[in-house]
Amino acid sequence: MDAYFRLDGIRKAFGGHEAVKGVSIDIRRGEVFSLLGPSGCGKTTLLRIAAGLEAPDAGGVFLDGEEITGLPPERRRINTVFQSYALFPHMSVWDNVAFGPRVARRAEAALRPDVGRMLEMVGLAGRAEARPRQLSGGERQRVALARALINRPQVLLLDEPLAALDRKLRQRMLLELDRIHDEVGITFLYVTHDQEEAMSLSDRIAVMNAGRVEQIGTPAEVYERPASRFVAEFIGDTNLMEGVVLDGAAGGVRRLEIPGLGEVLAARGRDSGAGERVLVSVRPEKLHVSRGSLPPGSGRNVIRGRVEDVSYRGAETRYWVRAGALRIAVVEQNARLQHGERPPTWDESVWVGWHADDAFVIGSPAGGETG
Amino acid sequence: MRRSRLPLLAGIGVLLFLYLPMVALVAQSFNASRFGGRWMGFSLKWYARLFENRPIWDALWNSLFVALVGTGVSVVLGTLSGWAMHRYRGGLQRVHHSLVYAPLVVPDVLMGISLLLLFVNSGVPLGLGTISLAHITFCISYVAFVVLGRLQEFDDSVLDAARDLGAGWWTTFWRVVLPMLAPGIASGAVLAFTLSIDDFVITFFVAGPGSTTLPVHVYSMIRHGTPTLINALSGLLMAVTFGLVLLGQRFIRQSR
Repeated sequence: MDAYFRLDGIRKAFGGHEAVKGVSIDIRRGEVFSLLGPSGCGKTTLLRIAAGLEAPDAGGVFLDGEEITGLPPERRRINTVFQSYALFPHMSVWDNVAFGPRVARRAEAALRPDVGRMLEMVGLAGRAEARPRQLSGGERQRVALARALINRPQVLLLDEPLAALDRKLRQRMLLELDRIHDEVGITFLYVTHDQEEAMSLSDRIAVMNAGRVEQIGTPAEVYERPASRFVAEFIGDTNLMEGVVLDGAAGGVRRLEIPGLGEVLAARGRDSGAGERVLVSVRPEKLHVSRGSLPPGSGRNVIRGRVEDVSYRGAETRYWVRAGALRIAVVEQNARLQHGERPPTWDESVWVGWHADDAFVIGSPAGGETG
Repeated sequence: MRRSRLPLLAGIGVLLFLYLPMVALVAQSFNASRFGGRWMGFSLKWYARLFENRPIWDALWNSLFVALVGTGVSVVLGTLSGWAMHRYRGGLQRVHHSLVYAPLVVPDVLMGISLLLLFVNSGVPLGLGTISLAHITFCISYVAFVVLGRLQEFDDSVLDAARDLGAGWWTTFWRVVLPMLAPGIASGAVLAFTLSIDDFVITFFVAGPGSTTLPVHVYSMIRHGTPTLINALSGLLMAVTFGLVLLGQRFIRQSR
């Protein structure tokens, strides 16, 4: 793996609080890489260290094989789209975008076509004379993007760039960002707390929690094979069941005893020996709920329960099924219910089934620490 | 529903209270009578006499000199002080805040006496120099707080953005900080200028022989009994001061 932009063993404390506790990340050239985590997990601090706006207490920053840890922000070929956009309020849109080239002492005649092209790309060619306060949130966001991209950075940092926008606009800007990334081919380091944004935009995601990286992987990897309880719970919804391993053939199907449910099979996740206490994660959409009995089949888990809550959401229906001490969430696509079959309703006794391949062992329930 | 007339009447009352003396003064400045009081017909002769009176013009030039020096220096120092109060928070900054605030509430007499004692004890000859220093002293606080007010709306992330886009701190200062603060600095400057031009008490203490400013000179003219000239001078000063205040308000409005 060729690391183009590398953060190596970064640590940073503010006062007594350690915001980043030893983070190493390798980002490939041209990749969209996301730092995903709840607020206060250290992702923004990491981004500011990447930009040079903060100095790390330990560790190094490397860009294209060169160490740039001590380089001030104005001498790094890295630009940032700030969360608040941080546009210069006393300058027009045009002057905001032209700021970088002008500071770099490029001739006015030479930078003019560049600024024009940038405004064209973000769809603001007609608003060059406007002041930032006359623009909508989405337009400001585009100016911030153009202002950063015009400098042809080697890496573009984006700090929660869509957080201030409403839902509809956010989805449109996501597609826009994707298009712009394809167009310029610059490496993106994207910070967000919104898993939907991270999943739909990124090539790879680093899920962060409390100053540490919990898992690095493609969106499908972190969703389908979460490395820890935190990842399983933070990305999407999941059912977590605590149990004891009965027999654990390495790599094969494991039998587990879950108190209140009985024996359950799990085929994926980390290896664990007999007698070990573990957590099993099953995504709600991998489960099925039925009034009639489900065919047992090989590798299938089937349990009985009672529907406690039903919530119809148009494309899907969400069930909460009580089974022993557990409350299991199930998501059924409504497309399945076309053949006159009556869906289960509230307080009905039902069968819940899932395949062992969709049950994922994520380690001991006590600590968040996993292998 | 009938609206109460009371606010309107009270408003008119306040305006009369505030402006009647000035209107009377300006009216008197056009009175041909030598001693004021009875109206003897419209005349501009006091204004004409005013322009021939050399000591008044000397005092005016002194005032302008002091006001320009005082404004210039206090704008630079006051802006830096406001910036420091905004940028750095901590125990020491709270002390700084209180210390800068104090001159706004300390009585002028006290300021005047303490400055006089300082100058005399340290052997500084009294004159335009000491007046300028005194004016700088009390103007700094006003400028600092006007600039600080402006800074409340200042988004510090633009400083990060400027550096991120390749600007060193000098370029950031010239291209971002200064233009963004300009309206605040300008209204601070106008305020400092009007305060300096107007000041009597402090100036009275620290002025040396032969270096009077206009307000101090006006005071001595009253004592030596030339009220008609003073009327004309007051009319002129009022016109200039009002002009400056209007200008200052425009800057403040623009900065909003």
